[in-house]
Order: sequence, then C-alpha cells, then structure tokens
Amino acid sequence: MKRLSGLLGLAVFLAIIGIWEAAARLGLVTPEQLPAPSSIIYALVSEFRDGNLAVEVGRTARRLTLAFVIAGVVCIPAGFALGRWELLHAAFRPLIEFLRPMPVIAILPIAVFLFGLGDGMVVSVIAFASGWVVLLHAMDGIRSVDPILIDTGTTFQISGPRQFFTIVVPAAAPHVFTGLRLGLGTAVIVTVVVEFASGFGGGLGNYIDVSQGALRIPETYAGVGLIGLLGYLIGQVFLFAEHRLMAWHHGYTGH
Amino acid sequence: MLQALRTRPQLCGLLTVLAILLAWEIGVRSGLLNDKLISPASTTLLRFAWEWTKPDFYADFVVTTFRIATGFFLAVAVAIPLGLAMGYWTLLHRMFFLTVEVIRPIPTTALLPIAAIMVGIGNTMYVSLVFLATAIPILLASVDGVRTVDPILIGSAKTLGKSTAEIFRTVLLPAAFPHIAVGLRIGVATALLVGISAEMLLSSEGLGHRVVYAQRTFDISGIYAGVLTLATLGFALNKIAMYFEARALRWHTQSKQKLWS
Repeated sequence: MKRLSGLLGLAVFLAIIGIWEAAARLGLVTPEQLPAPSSIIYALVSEFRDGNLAVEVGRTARRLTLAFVIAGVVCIPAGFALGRWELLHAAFRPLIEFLRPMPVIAILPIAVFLFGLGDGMVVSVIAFASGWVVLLHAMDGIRSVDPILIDTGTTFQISGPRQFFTIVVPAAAPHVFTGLRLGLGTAVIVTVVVEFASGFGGGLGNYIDVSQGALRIPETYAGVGLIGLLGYLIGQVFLFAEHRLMAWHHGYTGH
Repeated sequence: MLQALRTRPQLCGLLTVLAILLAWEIGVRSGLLNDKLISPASTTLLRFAWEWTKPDFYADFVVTTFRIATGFFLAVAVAIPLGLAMGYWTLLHRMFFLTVEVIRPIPTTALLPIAAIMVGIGNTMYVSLVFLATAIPILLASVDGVRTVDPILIGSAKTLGKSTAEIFRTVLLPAAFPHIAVGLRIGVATALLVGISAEMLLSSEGLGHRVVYAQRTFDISGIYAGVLTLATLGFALNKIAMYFEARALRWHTQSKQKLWS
C-alpha cells in the first residue's frame, strides 16, 4: 500500500513534467519563458561535463557550510547565555524583541558598504541571517524549559553549571534544532541573494544571474534546480544528524 | 545596584539601549569608529525620523507593503483550502506530496531571474514571488493541522449530517488553526524576506531599493536609517499578525483554560 501511494505521487509528478514537456514542444510557451524539461536536463549534463557547474556548486556549498557552522558556533552559546542569565536577558530584551521579526537581508547593504563585494561579505551576511534565527531559538529554548525539571534537579542537589549542562541544555535541544533547521532554510534563500548582489566570485546564485543575462534559459533553470537540490541535500544530512542526536528525545516523547 | 536592576527588567533594557546608542555616538564622534563607514547614532535617528516627512518615502513604503500584503493574502487564500483538502483526502495528498517535496527546497529568490523573464519586471513579478515563498509553509502547516484534528470531531460532524463544505469551515479550519497560525507566522517572515530581497536586486522603487540606492550613492546615514526602517516594518507587520492570530485563537485559549480550571 505504501509503495502504491509512492507510485501515485511519482505518476502525478511525471505527468506534470510530461505536460510541461508537451507544452514546450508544441510551442504553447516560448522557450525563453519556459524551456522543455529535456532541454534543461541536457543543459545540466553538458554544463557539468564542461566542468563549469561543478566549480559553482563547490563555491556555493563551501560558503553555505562555512557560514552555517559559524552561525551555529557563535549563536548557540550566545543564545544559551541570553537564556540563562536573567539580567543579560533583561538588558537585551527590548533590542531583541524589536529586531526579532527583522527581514535579515536588510543587513546586506551595510555589509556591502563595510566589507566590499568579497567572500567575507558573502559569508558574514549568510552567517548573520541564519545565526539570528538560531540565536532566538536557543534563547527561547533555554527559557521555556519546564521548571519542574529544574526543581527536580535542585532536589537532587544538581545545581549550577552541572544542572545547566545535564538538564537545561538537553531539554532545550529540540528548540535549538528547530532553530538550526529554520536557519538553514533562511541561509539558502539569502545565499542566492548575496551571490546575485555580489556580482563576481561565482557561486550558483551568480551562475543563475549570468545565464539569465546571457539568455541561456535552460542553464538558468538548471541552476535553480541545483540550488534546490543542494539545500535539500544539506537539509537531509542535517536531519540525519538531528535524528541521531535526538533519538533519546523521540523515544521519550513517543514521536 | 545589580539587585535593583534585577527587580526592574524594563529599566535594565532601557539603560542598555541608551548605553549602546551613547557608545555608538561617542565611538563615531571620537574617531574610534570610521565616520566614513558608520554615521553617528544621533544623525541616523534624525535621518530615520526625517524620512517620515518625505512623500517619496511614503510612495516606497506603500509599494513594498502592497507587494508583500498581496502576495501573502493570495497565498493564504490558495494554500489554506488546498492544505485542508490535502489533509482531509488522503488520495489528494498521495497524488501531490512528491511534487510539493520537489518544489519545497527551491529557494524562491533563485526564481527571481526566471520570474523576470516569465512575467516581466513589475508588480506581478514581486507579488508572485512572495506568493510562492509564502504558499509552501502555509500549505504544509495546513496539511499537518488537519492531521492533528481528532477524528471523533469529524465523525460527529458527519453523523450530525453536515456537508463536506460545512465540515471544512466549521470543524477542520478551526481545529487546525493553531497549526496553521504557525505556518502563517513563518509565512509573514518569509514574505518580508523575499519581498525585500527582490526589491534590493531588481527594482527601481520600494523600501528594499531605497536602502540599496543609499548604499550605491554612499549616503551613509541613509543606509543605516533604511535598515532601521526595514526592521521597523518587520516589527509592525509581526505585531499586526500576532494581533489577528490572538483574536482568531481566542476561543482556543479559552477552551484550554476551561479544561484546566
């Protein structure tokens, strides 16, 4: 039954691709607007064979990974600190609450102005954009830990840093992972924008922009698909890690 | 001193904001921070206030808000009914989940050049990008929402002779709404992010373009004031969304309170 339902989804997906192919072949849409799927796949394969595309994928993947790691390493501890120390939280609360729903891309013009159009600018904007979400979730995670857990710990004379690392952090971990997952989504969206804006230095965002400018439309679509695939693969690696690390939690809550 | 602050968190927050502004002002005025790269706090805040007296600022403001709001509401109008239907009829879900899963990881901003070719640069392009970016999280939240609805509720509604349309409106939508609300909130944030990004890259109007224009013309206070404006817009939109969410969920919180008290 499960297999059958998978096949139905696949059939509909293939049917959509088929209609798209037919529409493109029959000239219902111009190739400038919507090239046929077959020509997109052809463009993808031939660009990979030339070696152009692999370089761009490598660049984007490197930036995305680097920025995401920086965001995690800096923003998880920062969020933990803001969540743990009441005074620190009170001090930054107005600022955080005001900036919480900020469209993170707003930082782009400042970064371009301060750092120029180099790789440093690209990585710092991506790290900031994903890090902001991670920080907020880490902070909220620590603050929303069930007080009963903490009281129980205190009863068993587990207090101070030991309490924080053995009770509070594991209890907040699901929030942190949610933050990381949302942060990754933001990072992919922002990476494309920054690579567009950066103009040179390559990357898939730039590749899409350049191929569209050169009216190489199948290549543009191929680039868009690859970015989606890249985001998906990084997300899957991440989900795998989350599943491994959070196995105790899933067992505990029965999900 | 610390104890006094601990009992008055608001005061503590206010003092920090003032301290940051003061450090910023002194840092720039004393030359510690390069004044060619960062404008003093006072200049930035004055510039921010001054923007609100200019008619062209309001024009940009209206353009941006219109694009984001239209895209968002179109997404709400399409994605919630579709999501409810996909959650209710398993067959529909089986048919389309793969397609949704394939589209989902594509960052909407990457579609910008494609949208520019397909519909041309203009309001339609911005609105459709915001629509696409927002529709997916709302759709997925609606599907999840229906799945959490107690089957007994649906069964009772059927027994009472309600039509499918009535079940959707009076059972599924309210019961799934707490889930949908989460999707809507993510949707507002994404709409803003994608709308502003598109304006920064490809527009001659709107708040996103306004900041980028300031950056290109080395209008330093304009950049910082513009970023402040974007943050304020995000803050305001989020407050509005939260207000409506709280109103829509009032019955939910009340029924929970009744259950526990």
